[in-house]
Amino acid sequence: MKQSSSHSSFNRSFKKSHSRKSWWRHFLKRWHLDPLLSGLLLLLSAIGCVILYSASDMDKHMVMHQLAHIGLAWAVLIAIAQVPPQQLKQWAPLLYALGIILLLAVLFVGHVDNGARRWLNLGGFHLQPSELMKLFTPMMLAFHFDQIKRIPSARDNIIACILIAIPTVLTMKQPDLGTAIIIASSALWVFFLSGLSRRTLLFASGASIVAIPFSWHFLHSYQKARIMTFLNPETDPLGNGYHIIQSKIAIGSGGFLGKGWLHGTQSHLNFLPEHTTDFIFSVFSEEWGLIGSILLIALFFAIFYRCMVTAQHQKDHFSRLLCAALATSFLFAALVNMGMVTGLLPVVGVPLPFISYGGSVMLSQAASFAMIMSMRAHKRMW
Amino acid sequence: MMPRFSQKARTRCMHGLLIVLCFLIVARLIDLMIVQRDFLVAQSRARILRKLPMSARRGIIYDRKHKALAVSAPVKAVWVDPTDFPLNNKNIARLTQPLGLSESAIKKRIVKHRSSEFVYIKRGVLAKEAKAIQALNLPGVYLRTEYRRFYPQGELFSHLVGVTNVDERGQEGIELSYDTWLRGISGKKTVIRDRLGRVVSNLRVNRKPKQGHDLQLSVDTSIQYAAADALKKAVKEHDAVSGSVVVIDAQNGDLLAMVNYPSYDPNQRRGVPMSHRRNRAVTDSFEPGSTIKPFTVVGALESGRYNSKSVIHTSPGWMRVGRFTIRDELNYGDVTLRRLLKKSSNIGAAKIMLSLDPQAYSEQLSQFGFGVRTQSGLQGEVSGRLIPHTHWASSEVATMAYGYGMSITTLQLAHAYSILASGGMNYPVRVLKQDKPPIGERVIPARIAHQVSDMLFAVVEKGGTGKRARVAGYRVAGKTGTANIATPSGYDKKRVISSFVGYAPASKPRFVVAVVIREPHKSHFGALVAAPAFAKIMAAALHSWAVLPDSVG
Repeated sequence: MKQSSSHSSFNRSFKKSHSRKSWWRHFLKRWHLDPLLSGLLLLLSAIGCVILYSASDMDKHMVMHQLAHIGLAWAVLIAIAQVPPQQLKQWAPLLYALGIILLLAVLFVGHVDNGARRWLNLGGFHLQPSELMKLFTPMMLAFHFDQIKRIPSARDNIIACILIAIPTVLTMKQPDLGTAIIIASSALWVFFLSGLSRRTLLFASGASIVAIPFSWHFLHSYQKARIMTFLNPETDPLGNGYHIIQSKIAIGSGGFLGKGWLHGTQSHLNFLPEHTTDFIFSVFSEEWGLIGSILLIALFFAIFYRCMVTAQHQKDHFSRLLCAALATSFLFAALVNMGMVTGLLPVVGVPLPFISYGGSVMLSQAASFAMIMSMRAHKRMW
Repeated sequence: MMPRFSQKARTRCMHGLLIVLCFLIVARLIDLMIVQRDFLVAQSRARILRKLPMSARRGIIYDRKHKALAVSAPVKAVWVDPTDFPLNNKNIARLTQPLGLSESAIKKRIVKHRSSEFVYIKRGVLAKEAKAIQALNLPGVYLRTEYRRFYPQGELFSHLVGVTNVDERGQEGIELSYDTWLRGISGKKTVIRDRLGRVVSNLRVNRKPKQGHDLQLSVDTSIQYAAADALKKAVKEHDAVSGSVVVIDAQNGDLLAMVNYPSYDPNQRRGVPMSHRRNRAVTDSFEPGSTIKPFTVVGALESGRYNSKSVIHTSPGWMRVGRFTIRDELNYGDVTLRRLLKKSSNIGAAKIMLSLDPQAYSEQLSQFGFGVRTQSGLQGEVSGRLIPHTHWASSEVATMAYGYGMSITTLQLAHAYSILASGGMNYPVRVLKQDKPPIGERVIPARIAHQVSDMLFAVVEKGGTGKRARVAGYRVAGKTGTANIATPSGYDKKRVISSFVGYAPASKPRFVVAVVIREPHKSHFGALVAAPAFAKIMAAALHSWAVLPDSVG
């Protein structure tokens, strides 16, 4: 077995482990993949396909598409996992700048779909820059706090706020409230972990509560309607309230054990809206019941926890901040989605990671896990 | 300065926050799936389960030979739920073509009922159009299976059988009389519907629909057809206003045919004037005229003061009773009862009448069914009018002898003659075919009935007023009638009702046929107007039932 000398460190570990570990472990190690995290993500993707088959009313075509998304996502994941975190840190400002430019481009030449300007058409390939910003914004924030190497001053915090505000506002303009919230939250986790003083933290939370009524004016009418509907869905049972009422009915009629796979009525009879994307959790809950839902939440938490363990082992400030932020952002997105479909939160259009049908979200999530895996694999080297 | 948060504490804090969020979601799931479950399941059911009516088929109406007169065929009703239907011109335009309705008509219907959840757009839609509607896949537009009544014989039985409304409820005729027997009891089923209201699967049948019972009438389609055909020709030929024919089986009272003209097609009854829809054979009464004379003769024979050899003086062809003058066509001189009927002498009949006991005669007319409804049970039947004898003035008594001052229906006329035909037995009119033998009641002695029958045979003989009623090969007994129509200002000399009623074969009567033609304009006399139609109908009936001839030549 001949390897080039430049990869001698890999060679050693490869040879050493060859005798007692199975081939796929070597494969995962060779490509900097975390075996446990990979297994959990594959399990989640598989569950996603099973749910999608039922949610799409047994549309094999759609499931094949989703499998293609998963395949592509893993290709991207493996590719990015090979990039060392140091490299990521160096690229962070550049990527952030590129993302902002793309977001601006969307605002002017974006592809209009469903009344929202979210896509850039790059010769048949649809790029959604706001998805990229889910990664680039926390990267930039982590970079920012890594660079200052001290307790952040008020000036540092204000710069951080501006860094968060730019992509958030641009995404809200599209309008895409759901993604904007995820972008802002993913960066806020970095903010939180980077060492804000308790006083600043209290002040910030107080200020945001005060800001809520003012932000009302910046929302689009349909977003306002959604929030009003959330506060009282029964006022408009056939319009905006319809989605959330149908979703609650679907979840509630699932009961403790659920109706069984393919036996949900609300989705199969078309009562449930967006049942392959934002509302896929309702389909799952109706068919798998409380037990299935709790197990799914546990799986999401397990993935989050595994990533947080990785974060704690990071020596580099940038890596630690980014890893924790991405992991938290993943779980947060899942919980926001569940809160949305159960009527705890307004319907803001956040998909359920790895379960909802869609390619862009799948790719950005895969990329974030790729970075986490890269950090885990490369931590020994620096 | 506040103590700085350690990195570890921050991480723990974040963990804590997310765990709290997880538990919030789980708590919410428990709230929805356990606490609110029953309510939400009920909501789910309310959305997907629907109780739909299952139409029950209405019974078929047959004639006595099992030919279908009224059948129910499954069709579709197109209905709209205005709360689901997006009311715009594009959607409405798509409905117009397959339904054959105008845009404004559809729109008007939906707008009118927009607050309700159910409005019929069109009913009785055939399978092909229903498929086209289904293919449109419009939200809020639904199809429902129901039955529509068809009358395969068209206008032939329109008055007798009657019609149903769009809900298949009887409106007229037999359809109304026997509605509770014919109509089924609709069932109910529970179905699962999707958001667009399409039935995805049938869950269960809550109540099975009970099909209606079939009904077999005593009428004979071939005789009915012959009667309708002859009547139509007679009415047209003589430029009459209307006409009715009733055929009765003399041996059991079965109604074999009942037709009126003008008529209508019950399958296409839009715009048919009400006058065409009346079953005139039972709803319209008229003064019978001379067709009543045989009952005067029966009275004479029953009183014992007259026999077949008695002679009545009718010279000089007119007589005065009170302020009336009674006239014959000619001066017939001295006549026997036989000749009285053959020549239809008004004076002879009046003279007999004046010599009889009014009470006995009045009772006798009632026994023949005048002044009371028959037992047919047909819709709209009237009793006619027979003034009680205590109110009779002598002039009225005289005119009643030849059929004025009273009114009867065509069915009563035929039924009264059936008593003569059956040898004095009253068999009530039967509209339904029955296997059990008829229960008759003797009205007059058979001897008298046969004597009168023999006299009525003479009417159709050479020199009689009814010679145009003859049927080759059969002895026919019958009587003509021509009566002026009464108006508030007295009798109208120009407007008459011409009739002929009789039976054959006279040796063993089977069919009683009564033909009434109202207001013929080309000729007046029953002998000319009604008798030929009678002959045609009687011949057709005799041949159809292969009744043995009883006469040579």
